[in-house]
Amino acid sequence: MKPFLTIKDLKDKLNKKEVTQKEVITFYLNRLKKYKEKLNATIDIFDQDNNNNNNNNNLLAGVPGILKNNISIKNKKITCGSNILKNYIAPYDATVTEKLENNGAVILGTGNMDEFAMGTSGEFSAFGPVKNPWDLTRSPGGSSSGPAAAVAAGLVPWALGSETGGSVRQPASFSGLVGLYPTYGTFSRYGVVAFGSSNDQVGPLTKTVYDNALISTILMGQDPKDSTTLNRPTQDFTKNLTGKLPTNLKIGVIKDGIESENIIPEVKEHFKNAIKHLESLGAKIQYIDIPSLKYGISIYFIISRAEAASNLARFDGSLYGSRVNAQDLKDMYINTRDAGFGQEVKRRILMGNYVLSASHRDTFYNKADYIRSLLRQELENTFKSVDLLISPTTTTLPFKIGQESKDPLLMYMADYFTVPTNMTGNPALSLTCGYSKDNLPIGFQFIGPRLSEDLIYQVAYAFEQSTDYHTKNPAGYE
Amino acid sequence: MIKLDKKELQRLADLSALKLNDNELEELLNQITKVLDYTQELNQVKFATDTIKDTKNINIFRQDKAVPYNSCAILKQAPEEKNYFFVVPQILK
Repeated sequence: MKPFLTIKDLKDKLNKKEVTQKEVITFYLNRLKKYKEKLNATIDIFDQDNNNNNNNNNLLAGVPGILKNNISIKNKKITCGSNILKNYIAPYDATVTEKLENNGAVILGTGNMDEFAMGTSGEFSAFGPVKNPWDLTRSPGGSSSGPAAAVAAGLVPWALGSETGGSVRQPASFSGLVGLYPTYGTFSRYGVVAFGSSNDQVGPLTKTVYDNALISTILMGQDPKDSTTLNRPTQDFTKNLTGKLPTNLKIGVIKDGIESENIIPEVKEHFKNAIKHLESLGAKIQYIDIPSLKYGISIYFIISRAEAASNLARFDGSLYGSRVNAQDLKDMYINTRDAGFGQEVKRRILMGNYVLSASHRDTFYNKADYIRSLLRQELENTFKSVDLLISPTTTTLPFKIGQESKDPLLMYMADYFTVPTNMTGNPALSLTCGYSKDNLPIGFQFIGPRLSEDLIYQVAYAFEQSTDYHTKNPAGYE
Repeated sequence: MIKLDKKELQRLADLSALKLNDNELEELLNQITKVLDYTQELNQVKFATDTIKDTKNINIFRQDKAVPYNSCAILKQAPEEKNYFFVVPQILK
């Protein structure tokens, strides 16, 4: 077997009986183990003792993948990249885990991540930073750092990440992958550890658009265990992947994406090429200004930290997780949280409780919440004149490891184009549109109106199939 | 500029059940002030709640019905447990 097979290729081989499910599993298990030290992409790797010989008609029959370690897998450790949960065993499956397994997927391990998904470089994991397979001195992005690195290095054909503020799309961009943030409420959050509940969604990381659409098809659906899931008919997102754009497709280029001085020139150059390419495929291009987009980072700062502070209040050492004992209860809480949480998590909890405190709530939280609605409305209006929007996914090339801790604000700013859609709940997909002169992947994203994943996949597929960016792989993982 | 000082940050830390030493207090004060300052750009936007009719948030109801669950599996995760209870340190002094 060769590495870097897509899910589609792998299923083909399995269907034609060129390989057995057992061979496939052994092959990927060996790869995960072989590159464990080099990349630090996984937290746990699961040896398979049973014969997972499942029905080949299942959508992911015998196809291995890994899940970010904030997604529950029954009887497996769910650390969230944190010391406070380092020995915690998930007592049940997340709904998304159940769906994947019901469709024949074989989960071979858990992906390393920034602690509680707070970070953009993977460096805030209590289990060490993840390396980018394209350049080991750089980060694969975050917070879904391990899932992205594993798929990029061909250790598994797919992985599930999660996103609160760009944490799937940014690693996809840094690692040369396809990553989706769906319309909020499309995938169940049951069994996924909460960070910012009004934005949290899981999202697939894959080599190709087809593979991504396939995973999303499996994941979607209303869940009685998550009241924020949408009552939305299930769809087969692979059905409309024709390789052609819909006729009269109107694409809006977010003006900041070509004008902002914060975007490094190489990213801008490849993004401009992507615009030209879409035009050559028949899309009508317009340049669009979204006035409140520039507030995306600020409102994300406020809302995500407020929600994080509330969600992380439950980690106090009383019911589960690690405990550091003390004479009385309050001190036990404090000792436990002090030992259990890393610096970034503490920073976000403090800021969250600051913006939520009675004397500041109006000037911060309520204001941010208001502008969030404003932004949502502006996007809704924009989609009356264009079908999709595009922008660079991030403003930079993959970060050098060690950069993040120095200036958090600078690193947060690279999320300029991703976090606004987390705030509004619109779907967006990142896709590779080139490589820097140092051979580092560069991504751009499609943003759509609510419930437009089908269109996004269709257009992204047409772009991908008429370019060869997705066929490149990092060297050294043959 | 945001007026956040060590005293207020210390109070927030207490409320958040977090412990900060002097160095951490200094560093976090700087970093948090910087981020809060950045968000001051939001003051350019006029607050006019009446003009916004936001998405139709609706309540989702379900039956308030207990379902059997293997509570042993959950209790097994407790740092300390006795006779089917969670054990925590003394609450009242």
